[in-house]
Amino acid sequence: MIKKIPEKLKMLIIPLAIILAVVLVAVIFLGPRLSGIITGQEEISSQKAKLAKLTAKAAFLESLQASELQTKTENSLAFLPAEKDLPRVLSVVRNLAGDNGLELQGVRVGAGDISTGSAAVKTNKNELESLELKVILVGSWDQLQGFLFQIEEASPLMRVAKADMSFLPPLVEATLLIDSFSLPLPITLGASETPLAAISPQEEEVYRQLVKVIPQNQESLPSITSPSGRENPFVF
Amino acid sequence: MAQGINFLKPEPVGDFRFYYRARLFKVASLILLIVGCLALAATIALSINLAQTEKAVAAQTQIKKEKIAGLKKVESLQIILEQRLAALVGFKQKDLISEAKIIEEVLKATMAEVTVSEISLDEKKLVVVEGSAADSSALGAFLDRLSSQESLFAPATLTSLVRQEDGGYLFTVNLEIENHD
Repeated sequence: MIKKIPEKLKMLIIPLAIILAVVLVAVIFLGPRLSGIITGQEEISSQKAKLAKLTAKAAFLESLQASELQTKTENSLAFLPAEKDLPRVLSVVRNLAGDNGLELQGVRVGAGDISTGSAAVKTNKNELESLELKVILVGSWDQLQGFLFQIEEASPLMRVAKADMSFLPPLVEATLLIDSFSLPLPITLGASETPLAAISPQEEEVYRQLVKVIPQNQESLPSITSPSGRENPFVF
Repeated sequence: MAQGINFLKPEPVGDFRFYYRARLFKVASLILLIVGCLALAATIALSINLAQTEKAVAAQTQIKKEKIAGLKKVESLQIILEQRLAALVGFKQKDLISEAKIIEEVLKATMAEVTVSEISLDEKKLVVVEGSAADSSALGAFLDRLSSQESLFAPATLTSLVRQEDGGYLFTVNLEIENHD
């Protein structure tokens, strides 16, 4: 015989069932949903931040004049080439010596410096590579002085690293160690949302200086090949 | 004696306090149910809104990525240019004094009684000057002039001095570029 449920308990069954159902729904459904919403909000925040970076980058890229940028890059590559260019350096040194009336008695290329591969592993992406050239010049001091001043303003970028001069009046015999610099191109573009560095006023000033020494008949920059993916877009 | 009866709120039969509490419990459960339903609806609405926002942001991100991909050539040119100019700025900051200027400064300090036979300049811009002087006072004056050059050299170091038969001197002097940082 089924025991009759007491009248008092009957009154509490429905409210109890409701409370139980609400608690169950909260635990099973609302809890995970809420935690999912919090995670989703964080995800959206990071996506929005990424979108903001992409928007800024796209706006920055759109603001750049492609043709002007192309010219500037060609000039900067002429002044600071991507690879060591021995024939061009030799030609510039020979011409400068000739222009100043100096006798070029000898040229020697520094051992182990011609290969770009030998210096390929660089920790700093802005670290310059150098090609060492030893030249022996004979002439007057004025001629040599002219050569020394001009080589510092020559294109490609060169510097006298070491100089030995013997004065045998009225002549000076100078043995110069000339470094010609190059800078390998970057390998990748980086992540799409990585912001691009704008050209700083200091860099603008450096560009204004270098453009004065770039010969106008320099060879043009080869066009960029159609890229496949984001890897190695700098292969010219 | 007349007795008033409230039909809307009938007097509970039996245990008055129990019925009163049971009614409160019933009302509370109903309120909880309503709040639960509202929370459920809000959660579902929020989820839908979140999904829509996520979709919109993803779509915009994709559009921007495509736009940037279309400007890849400009991007690579900008990177190359900036890389080169940044390297040149760094280079120019280190390369403050030209070699020609250094040698010119040494030669400017020479006088009739002093002859410079050799100047060596190494990578660290240490300058070694070799030459001959007619007498010690000429050599002293030469060293004073080298050291008193307005901005270029730290006081000169005489590293070698050989007296000649004619009373003159062969000398070697080391010069360092003065640091003005």
